Amino acid sequence: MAEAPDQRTEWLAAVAAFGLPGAGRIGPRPGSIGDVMADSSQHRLTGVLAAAAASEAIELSPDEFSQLALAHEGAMREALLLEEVLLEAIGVLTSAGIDSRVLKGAALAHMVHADPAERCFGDNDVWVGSADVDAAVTALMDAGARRPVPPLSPSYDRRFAKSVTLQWTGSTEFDLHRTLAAGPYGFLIDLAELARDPAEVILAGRAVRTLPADLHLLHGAIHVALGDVDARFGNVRDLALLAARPSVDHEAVVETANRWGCAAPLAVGLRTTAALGHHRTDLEHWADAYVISDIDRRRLAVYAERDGRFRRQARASWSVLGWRDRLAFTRALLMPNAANRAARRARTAVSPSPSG
Amino acid sequence: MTSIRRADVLWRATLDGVLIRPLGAAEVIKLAGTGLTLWGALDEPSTFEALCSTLAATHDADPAVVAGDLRPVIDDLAARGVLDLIDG
Repeated sequence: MAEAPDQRTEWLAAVAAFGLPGAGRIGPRPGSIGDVMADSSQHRLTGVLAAAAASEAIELSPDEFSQLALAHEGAMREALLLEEVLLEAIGVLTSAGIDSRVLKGAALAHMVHADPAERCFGDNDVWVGSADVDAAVTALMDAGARRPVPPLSPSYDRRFAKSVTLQWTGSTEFDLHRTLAAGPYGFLIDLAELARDPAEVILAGRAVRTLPADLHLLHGAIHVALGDVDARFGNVRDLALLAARPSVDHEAVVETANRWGCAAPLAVGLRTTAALGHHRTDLEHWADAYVISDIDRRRLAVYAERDGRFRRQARASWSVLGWRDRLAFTRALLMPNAANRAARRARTAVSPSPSG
Repeated sequence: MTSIRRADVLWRATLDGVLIRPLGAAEVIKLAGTGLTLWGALDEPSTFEALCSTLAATHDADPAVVAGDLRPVIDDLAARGVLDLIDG
C-alpha cells in the first residue's frame, strides 16, 4: 500500500536538502522506488536523488539503482537537448543584436549545483528587455520556433506579458520572458535592473549571459512564492543553495526587493526552505520574521489558488499600472485578437487545462 | 599523439557513465562503466599510454587489456568530433 502523502513529502524534503549545510540524514524510503521516483520527477529532484544514491545516502537494491539510473539518464538527455536548443536560440538573439539573460534551470544547473547532473529542467527560460520582446519573437520564429498562441493585442507582449511561450526544435518549450512574475508583482519589478551586471555560465565552451546570483535568488523566491500553487522542492533547493552562497549579498537582495516592492514574495519564497531542515542563513531567518503588509496580503492572495488565477492577477495588476496602461491592458484582455481567441479555443478543445 | 575532449560539446555524468552531446549531432554518445573515468582524464591533454595507465590503475585492470579496449573508443570519439587529437 502506498504511504501517506505527508511521509512522502517529508522524505522528498530530506532528499531536497541532500548536501546542504546541516542537512539531516535521509530516512527509510516511504513507498516503492516507483513512487519516490515519480515524486522526485514531479519535483525536479531526480538528479538529487541520483546524487544521494551515488553517495549511498539512500539504500537501493541493484535493480532499484538501475531503475533510477535509467530515469536519471532520461532527464539528462532532456537537459542536454534543452541546452543545445538554448545555445541555438541565444545565437539567434545575438545575431539579431538582442541582449538576453538565461533564467532558472539551465543557468542554475551550472551556477549553483555541485554537479549540473543534479539539476533537472523541462524547458528553457530566457529574459530580454521589453523593447526587444517583439524583435526577439520575430527572430526566433524566423529561425523555426512556433508560437502556439498569438498575442492578445499587437503591443501586449512588450508591455504586459510575463513571457511568450514558443515551441522549438524537438518540441521543447522556450519561454521568452519580459518580466519574472505574472500579475502585479511582475509589473513592480524594475526590468532595467535585470540587465545590469550580468554573470556568465559556460555551455559547450561558450559564455552565456545570465543574472547575477543575487537576482537569481530574488527570482527564485518570487517564482516559489507566486508561480505554482504548490512549490517544487527542486526550486526550494535552488533557493537554499543560493542563500548559502558566500558571494550572495543578503542585504543587497533585501534592498533590491524593497526597491521593487517585492519584499513580501521574497520572504514568502524563502520561508519554504524551512521544510528542508538544514542550517538556514540570516536571510532565511529575516524571511521568517518579515511582517507582510495588508496590501501585500491582498496581492499575494491572487496567486494562491489554481482556479481563476489569470483573471484575479489581471484585476490586481490594475493597482500598479498607470491609467494609460490600464486602458490598454483591459482592452487587450476584454477584446483579444481574433487569432488569439481562435488559438485558445483550439487549445481548450484539445486540453482541459487553461492556456494561460 | 595526445587526446583532449573538445570544449564545444555538452555532457553530463550519470549513475553509470557519461552522456556526451556534440553540438549539431543527431545522437547522444553514451560512455558506460569506466567511461566517466576516461572522460575525466580527457579534461587534460593525455597520451594514449597515460589514459591506459589511469584506467588500469583506477579500475584495477590489466593495462594490456585496457589498451585493446580503449583504442577503438578513442578513435570513435575522435571521429564523432568529441576529441581533439594533438600531434607531439
